[in-house]
Amino acid sequence: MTNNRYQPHEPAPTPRYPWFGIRHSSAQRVAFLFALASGVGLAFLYRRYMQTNDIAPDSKMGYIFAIAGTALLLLVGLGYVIRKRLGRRWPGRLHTFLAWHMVGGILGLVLILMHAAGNFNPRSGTYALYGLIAVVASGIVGRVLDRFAPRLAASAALEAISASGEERMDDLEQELEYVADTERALRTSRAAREHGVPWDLAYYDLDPEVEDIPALLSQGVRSDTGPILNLAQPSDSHRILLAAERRQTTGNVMREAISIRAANRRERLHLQTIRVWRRIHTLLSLAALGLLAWHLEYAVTLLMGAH
Amino acid sequence: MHRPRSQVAEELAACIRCNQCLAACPALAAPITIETLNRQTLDGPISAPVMRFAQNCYLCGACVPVCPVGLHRDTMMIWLKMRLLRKNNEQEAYEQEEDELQDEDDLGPPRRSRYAPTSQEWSRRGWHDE
Repeated sequence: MTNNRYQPHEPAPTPRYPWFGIRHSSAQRVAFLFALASGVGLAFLYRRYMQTNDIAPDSKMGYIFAIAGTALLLLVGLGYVIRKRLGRRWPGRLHTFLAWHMVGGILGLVLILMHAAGNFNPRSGTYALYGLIAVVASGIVGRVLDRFAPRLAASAALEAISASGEERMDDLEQELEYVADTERALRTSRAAREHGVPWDLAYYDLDPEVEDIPALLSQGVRSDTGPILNLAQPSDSHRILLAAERRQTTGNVMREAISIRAANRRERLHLQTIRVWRRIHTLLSLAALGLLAWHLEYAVTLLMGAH
Repeated sequence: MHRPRSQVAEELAACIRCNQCLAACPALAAPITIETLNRQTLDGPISAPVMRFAQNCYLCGACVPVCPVGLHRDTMMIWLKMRLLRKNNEQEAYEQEEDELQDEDDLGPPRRSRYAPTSQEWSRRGWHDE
């Protein structure tokens, strides 16, 4: 069970969503410090290794780097995936596993580069190395995307939401419906003026639907001597003004609808980017694993031949 | 994709608080209860752990398939992010306004324009004070 550290009487912080400078978790800080210390240690080790006479991928130190790098990559790569997919009841947060997954991936690549020691002759090894570089690079790019894409998506979503939290597109639809109703009422009144309005009260619906009322009012109620109730018979100048207003409203609504559609598209794009990039990282990892297996097979054949 | 407030409110009401979504989340660093998260998603003040969680959530969707009642925690997180972003923008606008007001207070007497000639320049042009 988790416990909530937030106390209700603790004052709420000023809400912030900065692009940069978000506080890192303790797991991330520990993993980063470990990576820094390991990096310094490995740099020192590599310097000593370069001072020896036996500098080759198949030297003793080369094998140690290869085994350590491969073991680390498999451990952090598979460890994170297994914890995520299968080990939900394992102790420790997935976030901590992710921090070590990132740090272990980078350190593993450094170890493999030390194993290569600038020797890129065996084709299988070079391909495996390129594969690992691609995996780590895609992971780093993915983390950058994870930082920015969700904020961009939320920003785009904010544009498509009204102040009350509903879809702005729905408000626009209502506005358009209102414009269409006005237009319909005007047409009805024009038709009534041209063809005359029947005087018979039986012509009128005495129990109209609410949405029909504007149209009915615009028809007016007439007797055979002329109109006795004419609530919405606009004059020609008024009609021209109404038409201009309608055109302006429709134009504004269209422009707003286009901008909302663009915001929705942007949001979808940012969300898709996050998910597609994750798949790319997974595919690259599988490809690198295959290349690693190919190189291991090559190394085993080499060792068997030597013996 | 985001959802309107009414739908998010319905989803929050349907949450059975099993905590599966939080357990499956790779972005959750500090302990947060699902009740706290649900309470602060739509309204009210946002506490520091929830704010950090909303900042760190990268909408990977890992919380969606594990939900036993088929809710979309990612859309709720988008809503929380939107709230944070809106408050962030408001705060920035407020601070900018404060800065402008402060600048106006600090201006003091009007300064000479960069392009206004100095007294030497006037003298060179043959303009002498009486």
